[in-house]
Amino acid sequence: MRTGLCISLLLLAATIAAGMVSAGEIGRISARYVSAAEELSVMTEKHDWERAAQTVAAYLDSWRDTVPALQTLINHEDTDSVTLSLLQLQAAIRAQDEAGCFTACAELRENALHLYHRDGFSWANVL
Amino acid sequence: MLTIFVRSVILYGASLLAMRVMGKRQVGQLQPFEVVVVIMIAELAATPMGGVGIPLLYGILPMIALAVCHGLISWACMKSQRVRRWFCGQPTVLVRDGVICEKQLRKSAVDLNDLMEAIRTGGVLDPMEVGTAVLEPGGQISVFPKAANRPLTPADMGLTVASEGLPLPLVMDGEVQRENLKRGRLTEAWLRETAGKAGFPDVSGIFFLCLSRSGEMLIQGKGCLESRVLQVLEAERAVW
Repeated sequence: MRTGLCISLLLLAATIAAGMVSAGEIGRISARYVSAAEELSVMTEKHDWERAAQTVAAYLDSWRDTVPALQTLINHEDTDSVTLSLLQLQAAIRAQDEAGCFTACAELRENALHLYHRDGFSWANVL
Repeated sequence: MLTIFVRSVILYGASLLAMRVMGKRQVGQLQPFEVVVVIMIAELAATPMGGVGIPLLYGILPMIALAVCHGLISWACMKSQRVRRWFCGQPTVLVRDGVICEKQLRKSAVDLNDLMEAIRTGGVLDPMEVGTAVLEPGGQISVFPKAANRPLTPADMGLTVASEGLPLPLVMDGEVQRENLKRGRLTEAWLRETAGKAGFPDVSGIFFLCLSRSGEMLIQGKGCLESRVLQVLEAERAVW
């Protein structure tokens, strides 16, 4: 009986620890791409297309490196949404479509925020 | 396709592990909170099985949560009678001294047909022979015949019989059970010699070999249609 109790408590402790670590990591990733959306939005406003294209390409490469590990924790639909937003933003920047860029930035921001809030430990999610 | 296959195997393993961690009683008599856990584990394993986009963790983590809850509840039930009563309920007497407790029957939502079925399943054909019937917390009904109708025992006849004890399987499907040999303070050399005398020089050719507390050995070879019983030990030596 004591073994069962010890196993239960160990599992509980391990789950809480892993949960806190993964939440922190996902929060960090989410914040990075939220700020990426804001950074690219500012570049769009300034019509700095060349720098915006380089920046979005760098973020896209970084995101593609992050996705495999992230998909072990998050539903693929949610990560695919961020990928799609980045690609749409990249296309809009290439086309120098200001309205399209602002829309894509807003989508990227929301999808990146959603990564964290979807599984975040909050009353809204628990209930 | 291969991905789904591998995910299914992983989730199957995780479900098995969860059931093992939660103890043998999961497979045997289930308490109400254990029934819930078993059903939920099945559902949890199925969800990410076919959906490759759903992380395996979405199935495994809830299983861990259930294992933790089950472990804590089981521990609490062992430590406190009150907690056990709350989670598991109490047994209810449905038939006392041959009289059906109608009030308890209705309170437990047990139909007379269910009671008759339980009586027959319990090996009693005539309800008049039933002395006691108890509705257990796990949901099964235990039936006990009246003293006058139960099978005769050696104690009724004033006989003293030796304790039977557990038999000791020493070879199962050709494999020597070394732990049981240790338990019976026997050696593998003795086993091979004894099996050799019984016509099985090679232990791997034995399907089943078992020692009883009376010192008798039951032996059956692979592919054989009959078994042999031989006296191989004095009863005093057959202690474990």
